[in-house]
Amino acid sequence: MRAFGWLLRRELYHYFVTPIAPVSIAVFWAASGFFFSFNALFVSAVDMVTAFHNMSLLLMLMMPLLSMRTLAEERQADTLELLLTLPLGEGTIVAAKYCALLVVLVAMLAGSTIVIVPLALYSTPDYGPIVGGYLGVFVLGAAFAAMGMCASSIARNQVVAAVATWAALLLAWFIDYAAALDPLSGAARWLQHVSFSVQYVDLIRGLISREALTWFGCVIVVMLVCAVQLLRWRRL
Amino acid sequence: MHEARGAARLIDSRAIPVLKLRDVAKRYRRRVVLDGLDLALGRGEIVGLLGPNGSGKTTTLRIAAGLLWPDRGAVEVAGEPLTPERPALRTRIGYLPERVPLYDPMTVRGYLDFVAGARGLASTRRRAAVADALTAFDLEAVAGRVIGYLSKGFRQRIGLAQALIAAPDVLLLDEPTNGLDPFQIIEARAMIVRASEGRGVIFSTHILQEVAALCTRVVYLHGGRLVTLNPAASAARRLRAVIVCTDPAPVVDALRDLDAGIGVRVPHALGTRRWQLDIELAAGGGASRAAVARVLATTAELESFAADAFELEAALEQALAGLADAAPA
Repeated sequence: MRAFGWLLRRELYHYFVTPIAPVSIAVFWAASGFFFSFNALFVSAVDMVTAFHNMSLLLMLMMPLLSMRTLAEERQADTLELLLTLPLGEGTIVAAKYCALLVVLVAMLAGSTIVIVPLALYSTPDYGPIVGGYLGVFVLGAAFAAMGMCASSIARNQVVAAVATWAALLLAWFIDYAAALDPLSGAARWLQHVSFSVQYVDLIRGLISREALTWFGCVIVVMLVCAVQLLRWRRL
Repeated sequence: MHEARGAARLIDSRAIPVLKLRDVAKRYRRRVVLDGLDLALGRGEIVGLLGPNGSGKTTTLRIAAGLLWPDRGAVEVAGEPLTPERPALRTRIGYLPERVPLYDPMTVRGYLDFVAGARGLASTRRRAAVADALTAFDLEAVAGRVIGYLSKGFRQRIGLAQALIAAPDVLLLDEPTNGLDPFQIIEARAMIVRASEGRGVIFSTHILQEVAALCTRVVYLHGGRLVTLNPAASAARRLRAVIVCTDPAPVVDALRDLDAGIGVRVPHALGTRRWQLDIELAAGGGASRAAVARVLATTAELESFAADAFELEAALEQALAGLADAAPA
């Protein structure tokens, strides 16, 4: 547990001492604020569902960039040799790195809550769905991060890891489009069930959908287990 | 009675090799790199690992460090098997890979603090270990500086400091002087000698003079197995050291206390405080080169330490000729 703490601390140091986290967080705040203001001023759509939708798309762009370095950079810099000779299990390494990514994700989402202020000033919003929506976007971002870590554990090059994550996310997002070929078949129902774009709809509406949470939870667990296993294979 | 039992236990624990590789085999796809390698390393021993490029020196060290798992065979650290289920045992191994694993954005102190913490040292011990490492490797002046801006010599020192921070029983060094300039090589050799006290050291290198100067035993990797070079022939007996001190007489006395058979010529003054010592080890046993180097490093500031590598070259040629003769036609 102590080793986990030290690894988490080092990861957070790396994110926040280098420009990686400050720039990513600033860009996320600026972009989510811009989209919210644009919709409010020019489209007259002042609702959090649209804001959560935009945040989800922003996370789809940014999480692969944040997660690409987790293990691929360690391999490129030969520091993975240090980590693998420390008295830590592979699970501890992956868990610490993933938790550091989640801290950055929370910081991104925390800053974006500023958009609630004008809502509170000019209306009486229902805070339940807003909290639920943020939880949903967090779960979605956590799934993106887990997929990115898995890609980073395979690829030696960080750019390859990021591109592979984007490819996987796009596939997971649009996979239900294939259901249009035969909408009534069992395969179509399965494709809609696994599609990120179908599952996240309830989440950004602030509904705590058990099905969606279970699905994204499974994605996170499977991706992290794969990352751990791939690290173990590096020793063989 | 209790004392006798305690003494027996102590003798037993000292008799157990700090590191043992037993029938280790490793292949990368179809290429066999190691094939039934056996090696035992005792406390205080410095083993030089020689071999051509691609012979498996790095693979041997990686397996010994617990970074890679062998396809066959076992690794034991102080009598305990090194397995994936026991990562805590890796605390007893210090490893410096060929490319020093450093986090460039971190400060030297922050990096050593991280390694000490991740190796399980508790707060008071950790702070003391970091302070000791900074002093031992002369890193105090750069402790607050970012690693990425430091020279190769400093980076190598930080690498050695991280490998030794948790006071391991075994120190594994993969070509530790590779890419260093002549002055840095001299400095690194002195550091290795200091680091070898009380632990077993294996280091791989291409430089015969380095092996001749530092090692108590030399092994050569050939066809995935280790060939031990004839110890008598491989032991270079003529040594030359440069030390920094005001009076070399106590150093000479300390060498004679170590082994009465050691021959030391009258120290030759190279400056006001620099002295050249020409040392000849006793034939047929007596103090090892590493022991002599340790005495020099502890009684004075050891600037350089070198040995005549001709005898080792001859032993290596003899061993290779023997292997060629033994190979099937």
